[in-house]
Amino acid sequence: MRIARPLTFMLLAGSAVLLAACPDTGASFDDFAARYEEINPGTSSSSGVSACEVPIADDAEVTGDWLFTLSARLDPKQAFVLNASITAELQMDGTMLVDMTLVPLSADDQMTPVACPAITFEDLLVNADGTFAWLLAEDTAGLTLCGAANPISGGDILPGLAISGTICGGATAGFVCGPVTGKVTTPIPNFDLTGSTYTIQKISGAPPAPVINCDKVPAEYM
Amino acid sequence: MTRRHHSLVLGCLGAGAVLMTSTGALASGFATARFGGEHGHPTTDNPTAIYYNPAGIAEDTPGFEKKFWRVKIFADANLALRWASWSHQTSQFDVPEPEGAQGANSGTGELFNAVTAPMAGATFQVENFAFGAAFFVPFGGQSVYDKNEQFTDNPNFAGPVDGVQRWHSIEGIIRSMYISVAAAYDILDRVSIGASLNIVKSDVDTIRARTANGTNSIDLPAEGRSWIDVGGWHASFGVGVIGEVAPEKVWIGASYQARPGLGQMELSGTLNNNFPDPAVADTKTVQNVKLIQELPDVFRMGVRARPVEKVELRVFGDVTTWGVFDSQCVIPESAEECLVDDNYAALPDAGANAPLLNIVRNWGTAFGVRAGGSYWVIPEVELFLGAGYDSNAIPDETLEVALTDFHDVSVAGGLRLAFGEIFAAALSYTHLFYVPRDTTGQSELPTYEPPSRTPDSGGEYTQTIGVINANVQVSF
Repeated sequence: MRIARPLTFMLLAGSAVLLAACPDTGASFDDFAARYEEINPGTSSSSGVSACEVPIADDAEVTGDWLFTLSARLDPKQAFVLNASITAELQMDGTMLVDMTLVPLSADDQMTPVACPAITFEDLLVNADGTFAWLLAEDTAGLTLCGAANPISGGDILPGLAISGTICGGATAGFVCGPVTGKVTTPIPNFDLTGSTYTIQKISGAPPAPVINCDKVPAEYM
Repeated sequence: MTRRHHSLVLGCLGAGAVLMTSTGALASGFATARFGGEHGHPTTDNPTAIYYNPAGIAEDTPGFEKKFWRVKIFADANLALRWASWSHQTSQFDVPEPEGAQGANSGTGELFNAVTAPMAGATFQVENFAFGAAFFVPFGGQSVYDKNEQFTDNPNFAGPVDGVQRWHSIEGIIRSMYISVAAAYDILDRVSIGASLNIVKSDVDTIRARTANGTNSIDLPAEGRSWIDVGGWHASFGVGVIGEVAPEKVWIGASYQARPGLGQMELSGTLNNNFPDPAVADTKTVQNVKLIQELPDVFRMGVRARPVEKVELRVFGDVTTWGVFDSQCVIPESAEECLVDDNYAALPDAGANAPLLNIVRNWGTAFGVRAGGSYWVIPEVELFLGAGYDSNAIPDETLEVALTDFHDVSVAGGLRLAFGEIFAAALSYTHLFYVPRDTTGQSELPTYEPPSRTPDSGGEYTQTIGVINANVQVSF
């Protein structure tokens, strides 16, 4: 009996040692998610889009070349950059119809067009108050952003994509920004882009440096 | 019972079929073939020969009565105790730790793991022919790193509690388990030839901290997790020869074990990612993937001599072609190969088949040598000793915590008791001393393009392992 207790202790201690070495990757994955959720209780972002103080008076303010910057929440500062060639046409009711052609720019210099198909949209509606909400691609039929323009992984991205914001005159003329929503189908299926942002900057002369959000935080590349 | 408890129990049962941490190799790379202890080598005549040299199963055991037929059943278990650490100082490639997270990416990560591994085999000799079958785990291991208590219940950061090494390894298993059958023929009692066929079950199940751009950013972008769980079945073979150059005095053996799959291996399963964002309720994704890798061939050679009845001397070694282990590449299910260029960036035309994660290895061929001997105090009591050296397969540039290797020397001592020709049992202890490595400033991993970029793995690596081996053999 006197020896039974130490033996039992040794067996338990030995078992504990063995258990300590057992990987449980699934539990580790879930534990991380639970810790993150506890620190950052789930919230949903809102577009926060409000009407322009100074609406667009002349569609010539919009027509021209813009720099389109798409900042995915995966790696916000390494944003995708595209050249946006825009043709705008004011309507009688004060709304505006926009045709936009996006040409992806190289992930290496954010200036050189890459050999990828241009992406064209027609008759995108801008409300009379300057607000807009454009569904650029359904989640189930995402547009293709080719790998050469992808500064994050270098692979093709197929995102469903929706953006919203305001196109205004006055002090904010030439700068559009807002949230991005949608789901990526490739390379990470069903990856939710909510929390991502975009900017569109008018090009007058030398192209501006890409900025990733409404606070005009500069993009950064490795 | 919670999921964790379920998984823990199942994981431990599974771990029973595995040896060692992936980094706790008993030979070069993550080779772990040390079953049989000092009696597992390319001139052995016990059932471990099915792996070390299949010709050995046709060899007669010195001193045993000549019989028309003989059966040998062998069971073996290793208990390995491993201590390891990795110390990393902030480097130019590290993303600065945010306020309140100092010590999250720099400092020391440690582990102490204890793992068991079984081997079992049996052979059947009929005159000069012999057949056998065995189960063993010659490659693999597992690891679970200690938590960084500084970040337990941290109110701001969910990741750092998993340790400073978490960008390379939090916990996981990598292994290749073999079920093998072998046949051999003893020509005129002087030369034995043998061959084996292996069915290999390989698994990789690991989790690490990760961001999409391959840095060790904690807050922008937020630190996430990638968990890969893949597996697959492959075939391989082994061949060998043993020459009895002096009858019952000197044996020379050589063998070859082909790599699993005889080339590139494809393991299928899932990649779970969680790149969190406070604006999104559920950021976990799962996708079907394939992992592409290649394991090495192993060449072995050895000499065994019995100059006098009470003494046996052994010298043997191996060359393992770890140079084929150049990467572990995770690709979409639809892809067929790892489409990366010379700088390990995804090929421009890879499109949707671009790799999702590519861990560059670029290992090199490694070798091991070992010498030992036995002394029979009386015919029933054998004392044995051994010592060896294993070279390092991993260059400084790609050494990282998930898979480590060192130059090491090992010493072993043990006792084997025999009860006639029918039953024998052995117990031994081997200690492996690993030469510490300091790769500070040497890591190339953060300089690669995505998807091959991983955080700086430079730092000080230490490790020591003790192995208790026990085995029994029944012969009749």
